[in-house]
Amino acid sequence: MTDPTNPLIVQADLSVLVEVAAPRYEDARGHLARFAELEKSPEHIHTYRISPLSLWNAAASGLSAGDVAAALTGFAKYPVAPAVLSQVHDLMGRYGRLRLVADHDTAGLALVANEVALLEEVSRHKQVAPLLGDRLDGNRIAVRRGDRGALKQALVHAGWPAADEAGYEEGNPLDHVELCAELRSYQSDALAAWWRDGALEGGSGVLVLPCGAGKTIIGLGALVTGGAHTLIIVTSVSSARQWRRELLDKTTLTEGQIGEYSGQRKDIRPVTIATYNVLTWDDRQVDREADMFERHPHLALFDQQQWGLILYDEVHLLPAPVFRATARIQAVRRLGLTATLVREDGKEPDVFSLIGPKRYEVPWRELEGLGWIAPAHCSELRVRLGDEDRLRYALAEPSERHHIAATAPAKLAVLERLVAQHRGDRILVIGQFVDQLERVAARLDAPLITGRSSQKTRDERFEQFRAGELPVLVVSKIANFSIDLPEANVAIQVSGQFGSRQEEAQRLGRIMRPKSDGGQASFYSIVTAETVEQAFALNRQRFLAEQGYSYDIIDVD
Amino acid sequence: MGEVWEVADAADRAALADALAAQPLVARRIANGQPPQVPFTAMRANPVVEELFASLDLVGTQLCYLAKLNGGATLAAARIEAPELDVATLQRAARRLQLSGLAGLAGDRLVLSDVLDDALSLSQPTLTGAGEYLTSDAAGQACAWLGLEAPRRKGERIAQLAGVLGDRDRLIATLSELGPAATEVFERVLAATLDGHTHGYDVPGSVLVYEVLPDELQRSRHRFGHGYGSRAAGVVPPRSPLDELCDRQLLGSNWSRSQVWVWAETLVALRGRLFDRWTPHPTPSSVALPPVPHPAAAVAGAVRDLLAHVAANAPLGKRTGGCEPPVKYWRSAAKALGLVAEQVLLLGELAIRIGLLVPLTGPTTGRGRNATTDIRWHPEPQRAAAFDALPLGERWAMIVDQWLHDGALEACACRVLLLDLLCGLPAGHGVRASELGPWAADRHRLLRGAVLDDAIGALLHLGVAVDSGGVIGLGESGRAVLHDRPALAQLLEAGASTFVCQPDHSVIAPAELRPAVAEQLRRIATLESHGGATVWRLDAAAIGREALRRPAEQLVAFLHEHSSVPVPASVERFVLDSARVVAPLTVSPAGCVVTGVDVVALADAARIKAAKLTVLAPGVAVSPLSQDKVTEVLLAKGIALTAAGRGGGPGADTAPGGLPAIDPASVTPVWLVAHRPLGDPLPSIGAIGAGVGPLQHAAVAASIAGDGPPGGRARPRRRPPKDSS
Repeated sequence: MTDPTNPLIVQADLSVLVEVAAPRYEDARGHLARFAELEKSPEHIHTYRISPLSLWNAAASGLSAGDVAAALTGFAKYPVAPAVLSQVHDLMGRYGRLRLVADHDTAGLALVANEVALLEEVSRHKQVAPLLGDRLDGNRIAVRRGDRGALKQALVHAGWPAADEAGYEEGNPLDHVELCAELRSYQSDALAAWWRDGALEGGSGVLVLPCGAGKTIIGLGALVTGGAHTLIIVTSVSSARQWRRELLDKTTLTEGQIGEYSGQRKDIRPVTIATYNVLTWDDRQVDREADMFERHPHLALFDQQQWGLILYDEVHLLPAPVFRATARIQAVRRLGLTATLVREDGKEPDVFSLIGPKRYEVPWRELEGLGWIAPAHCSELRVRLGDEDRLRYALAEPSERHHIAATAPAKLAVLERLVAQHRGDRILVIGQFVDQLERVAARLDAPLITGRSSQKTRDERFEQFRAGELPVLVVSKIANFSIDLPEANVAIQVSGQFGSRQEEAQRLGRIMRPKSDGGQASFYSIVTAETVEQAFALNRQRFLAEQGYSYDIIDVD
Repeated sequence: MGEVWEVADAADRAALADALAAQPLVARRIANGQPPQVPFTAMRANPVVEELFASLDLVGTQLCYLAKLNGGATLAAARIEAPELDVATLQRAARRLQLSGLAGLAGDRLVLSDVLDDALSLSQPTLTGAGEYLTSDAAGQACAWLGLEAPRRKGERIAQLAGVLGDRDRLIATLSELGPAATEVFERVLAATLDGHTHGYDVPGSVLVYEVLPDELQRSRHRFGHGYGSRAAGVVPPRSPLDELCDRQLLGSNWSRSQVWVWAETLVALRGRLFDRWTPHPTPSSVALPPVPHPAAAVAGAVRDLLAHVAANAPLGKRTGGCEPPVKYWRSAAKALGLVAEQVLLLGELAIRIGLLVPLTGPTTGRGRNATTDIRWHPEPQRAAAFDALPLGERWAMIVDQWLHDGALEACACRVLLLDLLCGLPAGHGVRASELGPWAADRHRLLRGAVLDDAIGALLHLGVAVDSGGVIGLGESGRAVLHDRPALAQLLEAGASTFVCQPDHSVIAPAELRPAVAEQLRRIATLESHGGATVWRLDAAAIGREALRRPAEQLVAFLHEHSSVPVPASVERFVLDSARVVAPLTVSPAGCVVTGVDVVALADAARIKAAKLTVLAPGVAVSPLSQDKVTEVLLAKGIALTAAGRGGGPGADTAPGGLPAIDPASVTPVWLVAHRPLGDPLPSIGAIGAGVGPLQHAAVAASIAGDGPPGGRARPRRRPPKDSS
């Protein structure tokens, strides 16, 4: 029944607003998370979105249209429009009418439907038809094992999602491995939401948790729970080393069981950590038209072991070849981890359909309130271009303007003042342009790490920073992701990659590990006013604003 | 209750009220102090049919047709035709017809008024009125075929035929005597008639033979001709099945028998009665409408946006008709404004009718018959300003009134009837869209088809009615704008006045946000979604536009005033920045502009503080000082000037104003291109030359000497750098 004190406001476009201060908020959120995706979570009113995919995922996990309607109407502040409920019924009614099952006759898969007309309809669909094989009988069509992911994706696009009942391959077992750390409550919940007691409807999906919330340890938990050979794919070698350290530290795995598959080493072990870069390495000598696995020979790693689990760190960065390779290995359990499932190319749905649905998400501010991530204070400091630079900027080509604005000399003075203000803190200065960073490093007399720095240098510098030997570290975009520097509590962003929302969020994430003294993290963006950088900053801050972070904007004269 | 119409006695107050309630158009005219049947004197049709007959309900309409078919209807005949209706319903319908002047009593029969009888036509021709289709011989021949003795007169013959063909038992007996082919032809024609596959080319309700006859029957018809064509003497063609039917008048036909029809009497006899259904659809159960945002702000805002769009993109009128902007233009405007195309079409048309948009004639191009004159539509500035200055409620009411009263007669009547129906529902309630059509059509015969759809669509676009999940009804404000303007003003002041302003620039407001607040919000934000609440997003472009009307600080103050939570600082800055970015240019007077090919020379000049020069771009500087003053200061520092467009070269013997002489070799040329404070008249060439005359003379001398281009600009001593502009 509708009640003015209820927290949900259901909109005609299937978005759902949730009042955080309402008495039944917690209860409503628990229900809503099962069939809607959290879109944004500012301070007062969170927005969830009911999409076809979210409803189908809900249906896959056993939820009925009636359950969804009951949750919506039960927690609604105002009457829910009948059109919304009828849309929910219609969409959920489509799930499961097609099933993808193992076919023991052909040792492949089969697409099965009880309605012949439906099978005929989808078999004539432009995207689906090439992925279907021979007609086995009136209700079954053969499907190649390698096309499992692509077919599921195509069926989703066609609006007839198939229930995947073909099951998983268990992979080679990983014996006697245990977790030596205790999971936090939300980490256990996330793991359980993904694993689902080993049932068919679990075992694949994406977990979205803020930076510093301990996604790695959830990954370790998944590895231990799965108990099978595992391929971990990460963004960089530094990140691979961090995973290795964590594996050795928090599980009973030994050095001999962990391999690294990167540009430097090609070591395949029961638990292998590979980088996206090495997997997508393009053999230029191979014809561009050749098969993907010939052009990217390291993708063969997916087939070189009987993997029981593939773990994608920072899954929002999944490059296209890995997307396609992932479509072929749908029989293996998959887990994606990310803090910011925001892709500027809009391919989030592909992540969901290939890796699996979003299984768990916690708003950043909520974990901050619980003390699991550090509270952060964000500020945008605006500087101005000098007269000469202003003129240069005005006359520059649009392509040059961003560089001129981002590397404004006035930023250096502000940076210097900030560093002086935060004496005693661990400061990361992050930027996009190497020439600017070199000037910054020289001015602050701080070491600089860029893509050109050797891995050894990087490891040393990061270690020195962790140990407190270096109070200030100047880094390029290589430190955007997956670099674990828990001691850092101040990040100063002097330039960035246009209006990238996820870069902004990931950079903030570098300083969000909870501090031993419970202190607050400070995040500064130095932006040149009245230039394109100001517009970019507005877009960059959108994701964090949607997470409830508010920026203080300070004009620096 | 006797079996006669009770319409003869004088009407009491209740009967009059009932008749008037059934005629909302007449009631409205009387309420407005107008005589009831004046209005539709215009050309198209009979006012009785347009206004009175069009408003009849199902029973009244069908009673008229029954009377038309039978030349009047007795109560007994009506009861046989409509057994499901009780007598009281029939009596009330007859009373309404009589009071509205559409019918009267002749003996025991209810007969149509002459006007209506003339105007009304049945879907099929009647035998009794078949004088124009049937000759006396043909009627006599038909009587013979039916085994009847033909009377002498044509009318009697036809009446006798009608008696047989209008009697179900005798008709069936006659049909049973037909051969199988004739029966098949009859069934096909009947089916085509009942399915509505009829034409009205010559005879209404006729079917084309070639469309309904099977191929073999068509062949036989062609082979033997139709009886009037040439054929060998003495050869009597065999009678075709069609002939068999037409000779008996089981089917009427034209002379060539290419069109045939079922007589109305035959059709009624076969169906058992004239109409299948006499019971009107009951009033649908009303459904409560959820609270919706007040529409006035959205509609008035859409008109405002539309006027702004037209001002910026004046549309070219069509070259035909009323020269209105083409539909394509309105569609593109809708796309640009993020509105529904149909709504923009409607509002555009209303804006033209109100006079907010006017056509302006452009120059004529071409000659003679090829001469064309472009017409462009523009907002009429004074009316647009006056409209914008009206209170929100009045603006909305003006748009609604214009729609209600202006347009085609039929459409206007339809709007009034539809609104009368919707107003009859309980306040705050509507009916399902699927039930609205059938219900409305049974209440007033005009409310059907495209006219009804258009009226419903317009009501929704104007915000008078709301469609909430397939339930259509009048909103609270919709009722007020129609019937209670003072209440509308109160409504516009009612409702919540607060919203939640969030750091992601979204503004979440309750659905019943006070319209005045909603209108202000709409000026700076775009609507993202609606339902239980309305979600807006602050929009930089909209804020920029609004900032041209009032200071950005007022916009921020508006957010602070109405936000129930503190407005995030980042939002406040966003508003201020957006206001600043859109209009960063200011126009202010400048003393003079100095340009120089040699940027270094200009930079040197700019260093002379007394000249107060500011370099805007390489080679361009401005000074707030006058031309004379700048010239004087620069010459004093050894920098020579020349006037723009006047030629001249470097060097000067003496400086004006008794300044010491300067060595021409030391003079760097800088061209003075303008000196015109804003608002001042253009200086004469002589005035410009007065300041730089000596230099100009020197330049001419130099050009004669071959040092500079004759009559052109002086050549700089130093080559300008390659990258200077």
